[in-house]
Amino acid sequence: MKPRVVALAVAALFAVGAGTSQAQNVPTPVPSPTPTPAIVVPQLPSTNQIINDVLQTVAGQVTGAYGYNANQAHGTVSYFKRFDMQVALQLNRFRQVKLHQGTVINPRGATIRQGQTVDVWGHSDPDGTLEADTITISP
Amino acid sequence: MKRTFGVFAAVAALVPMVALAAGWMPGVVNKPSRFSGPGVYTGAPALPVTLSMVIAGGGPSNFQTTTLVGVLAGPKAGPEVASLTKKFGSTKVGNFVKVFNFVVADTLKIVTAKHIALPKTPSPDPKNGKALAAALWGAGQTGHGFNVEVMLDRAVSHGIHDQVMDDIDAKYGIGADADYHAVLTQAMHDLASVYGLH
Repeated sequence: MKPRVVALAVAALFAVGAGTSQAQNVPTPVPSPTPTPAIVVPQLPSTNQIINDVLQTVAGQVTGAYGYNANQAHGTVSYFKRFDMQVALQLNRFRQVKLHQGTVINPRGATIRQGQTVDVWGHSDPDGTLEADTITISP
Repeated sequence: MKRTFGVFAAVAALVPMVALAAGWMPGVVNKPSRFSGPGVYTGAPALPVTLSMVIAGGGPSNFQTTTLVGVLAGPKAGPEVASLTKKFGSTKVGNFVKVFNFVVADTLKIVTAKHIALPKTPSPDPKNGKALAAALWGAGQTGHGFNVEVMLDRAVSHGIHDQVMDDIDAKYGIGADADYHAVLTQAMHDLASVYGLH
């Protein structure tokens, strides 16, 4: 009984070994190395960041128009003379705006006139006056 | 020499014409007011109207904004307050009521300190809401429409008005001051519509 088992086991081993040797005989193609082009993946901000930016911009414009945003005012020019400007916001609110030598007016070279719609960005003085860094005139 | 004088006279004659062309009423200049658009009145105050307004609000020692609104708007006072609250929200309307109470008290304090004599007789009749609304609306005219700060300048003088605003800012903050001007502007426009003053 035992020699039979041993013989079977040996036979099985040979069979496996034969199969392996056959596989080893078939030459496997060696993949030729191909240079991988350098792929530049653009670094996009995350979706949440984009949504936050949009929300902040929209909220800033809304609050600027209603007079709550310390650093922005959006409305109609009710007064303008040299470096002094006043912008009419929503709900009977007005905001004093001070221009300075470096205030950027968009479009460049445009002249501010009463009645124009403007978007003013800058920083607030303690008395609420908006020191304008950028003034964009709406077309 | 005669020719020079002639040119000078012609220029001098043009100056008032230019002023008229600008359309500003006498005493009103094209300067930005603090909270309410262009227009600053630098002339003498119309104190009889001011006295009428104070009496209509309950008198110097008991002035209440709500009492004044009740006289000015009559039976429409309730709907008017509701309309203002709907438009501005209860916080801003609350600021208006609170600040206006303070404005009258502070003005009277300043007037007393400056020894400014108030007239003995109010004009118009403080019980006549329509007449008082019309007088206040008229006091706010600039030549370019109504400006609530010109109304306040005419009520107490520009200097005292400025001083009162400084006091408001110190006590309640600039935001509450802006609310007071914004809501008062709307209330005056509403009264003008009700009484056909536009």
